Amino acid sequence: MSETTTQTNARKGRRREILFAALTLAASVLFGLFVIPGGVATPASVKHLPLSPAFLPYLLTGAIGIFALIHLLEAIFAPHIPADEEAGALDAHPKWKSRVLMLIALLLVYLLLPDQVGMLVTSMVVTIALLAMGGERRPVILIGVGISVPLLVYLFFTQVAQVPMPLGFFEDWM
Amino acid sequence: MFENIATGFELFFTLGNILAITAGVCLGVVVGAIPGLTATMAVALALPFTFNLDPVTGILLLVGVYKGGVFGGSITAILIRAPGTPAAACTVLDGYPLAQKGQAGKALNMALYASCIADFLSNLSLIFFASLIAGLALAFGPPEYFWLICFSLTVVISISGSSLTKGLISGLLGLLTSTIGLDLVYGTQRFTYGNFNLMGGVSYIPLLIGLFALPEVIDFYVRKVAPFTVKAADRSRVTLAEFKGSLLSIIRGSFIGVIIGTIPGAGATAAAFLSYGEARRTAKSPETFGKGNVEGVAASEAGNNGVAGATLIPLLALGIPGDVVTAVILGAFMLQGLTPGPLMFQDNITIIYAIFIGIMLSSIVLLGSGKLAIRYFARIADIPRHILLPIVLMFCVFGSYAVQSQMFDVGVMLAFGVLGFIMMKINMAAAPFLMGFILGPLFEDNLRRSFLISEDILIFFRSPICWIFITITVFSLFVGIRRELRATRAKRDAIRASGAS
Repeated sequence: MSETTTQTNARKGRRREILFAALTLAASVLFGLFVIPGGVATPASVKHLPLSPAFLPYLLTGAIGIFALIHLLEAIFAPHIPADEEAGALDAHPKWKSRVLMLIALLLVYLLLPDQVGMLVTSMVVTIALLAMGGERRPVILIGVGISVPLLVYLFFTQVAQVPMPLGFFEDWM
Repeated sequence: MFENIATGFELFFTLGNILAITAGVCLGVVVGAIPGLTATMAVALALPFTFNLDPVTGILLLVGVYKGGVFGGSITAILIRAPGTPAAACTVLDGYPLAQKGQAGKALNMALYASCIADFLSNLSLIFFASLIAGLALAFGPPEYFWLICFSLTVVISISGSSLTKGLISGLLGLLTSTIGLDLVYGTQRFTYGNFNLMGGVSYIPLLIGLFALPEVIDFYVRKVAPFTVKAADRSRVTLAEFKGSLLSIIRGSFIGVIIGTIPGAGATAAAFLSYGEARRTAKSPETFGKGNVEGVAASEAGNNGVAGATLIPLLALGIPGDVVTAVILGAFMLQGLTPGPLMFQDNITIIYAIFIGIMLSSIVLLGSGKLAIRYFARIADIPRHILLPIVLMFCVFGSYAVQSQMFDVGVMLAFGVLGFIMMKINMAAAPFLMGFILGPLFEDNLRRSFLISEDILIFFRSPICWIFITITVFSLFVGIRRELRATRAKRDAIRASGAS
């Protein structure tokens, strides 16, 4: 790696750390000012501060803010230390944006579809889609793995582990 | 005593008992290796099978399942970064990097050896020090627990990864996440916003699966090529030098596990992280921890398996279940018409000895079944990643759903998976988050219960146990922070030097 690339990476790394610290600091301030008062119900009868339900959230938020501030100062004034992962990081996939969108869609399918079509069908659909997304083109593998593995896992959970899985519209048929 | 041991031997050595413990350990290893299916679930599943068995056979079946389950969790933690049980989360830290280096065999074998040794030492402690240690556990009140948890939290320094401040923020975020749910003292809502599913807090297993396993899946699809090829069919084995080098950490971790296991509620996960932290603190090259140091695997496995035998100490000696698994085992005792506690040592001493002998045998059975499991499970890592990862995701979803049969938990897993991925990208360690999340409720509960007892801050300094834990907490903080600051300074000096040259 040339000297210029190292310096550019260090600059980028430093900027990233500053951004992280600033966002964390801002989030802790917002959390302390709005989220805790709005999200924690504190009874009027609380005698001592540590007994209050809001005590620990405030304490932790304050500590997060302080450490974020320390990290910010460190990122501004001290030389940037590249993380190991940073140094050896591989490039993102050329179509990473569309792949992320597809992945989000498939994760949402896993979240929303089981109640409608059942866990088995959902896992078959998502598994086949992910196999294809990962580059698998052989129909035997796509269909074989995509159908048999979810079926076996489903049978293990429902029959051996006795965990009832959502059946979706199949529930009416069974 | 010898007469009782002889009668115990006679009672134990039946084909049924040996089969029960073998079947139990094997079942435990398999179930424990599946993310989402915990040792607790495996023991609960095996419980109905004990109804028609002899008391000794039934109890040994459950104990076998429990011990197998604790080890089984490490297999998928090492191979696919998906801890089968919460206690195996710490094994991920060095086990998965070793697998990435093509040394999964070494990691799995070291995990097994450490598990068996820790299990054996834990069983010995159960047999010889049950009454002594149980007495010690009874001396723990809320203030003592509070300081124990504070000491455990200092481990966050050791598992912070490349940045201490980020690691601390991660741990604090974990603690903050643990406050979600109904307040323990007043029953008021905290960050639930009326959502019924959040009243009991964020589910533990989906969070664990999401935080560790899902980021790997997401990362695979976002990167240009698969970043690492995990090869398990390697010929890497634990060398004698590596074993000797890790032995001290294994023994120390075993005793940490025994002490933590004896104290009801403290848990195997905390023991694993504490053991890991101690191994790193005393290591000659702590910077190699987290990057595939086999001693790290040994320490974490010794910590969590050391708990397995010790949790039975308060159960057998006092009739107090230390965790959910031992609560299920307590149920099995009661179903058999036995009531664990001091009286059992008088009335059913031969049964106790027969169980002790069976428990000792379980360590040997674990070694055999573990070797077998490693041989077959290790093949998982030979599966091409584009085929393996969709299956991992499926296990993540099924495992998260299985916890409470709720799709909400799948959502929790996905949400924490995304958080874990972001943390991975910004080089923020996920392990401190988990540690904070696990210890958070214990920390807050004991802090507030102490105040409820006396309404005076002096209660936190009331006993020698408090002072012992205060001392080691301060010492651990001092040593940990000094070491991290020195390491950071050395790195900065090196950067400055390379910039100047």
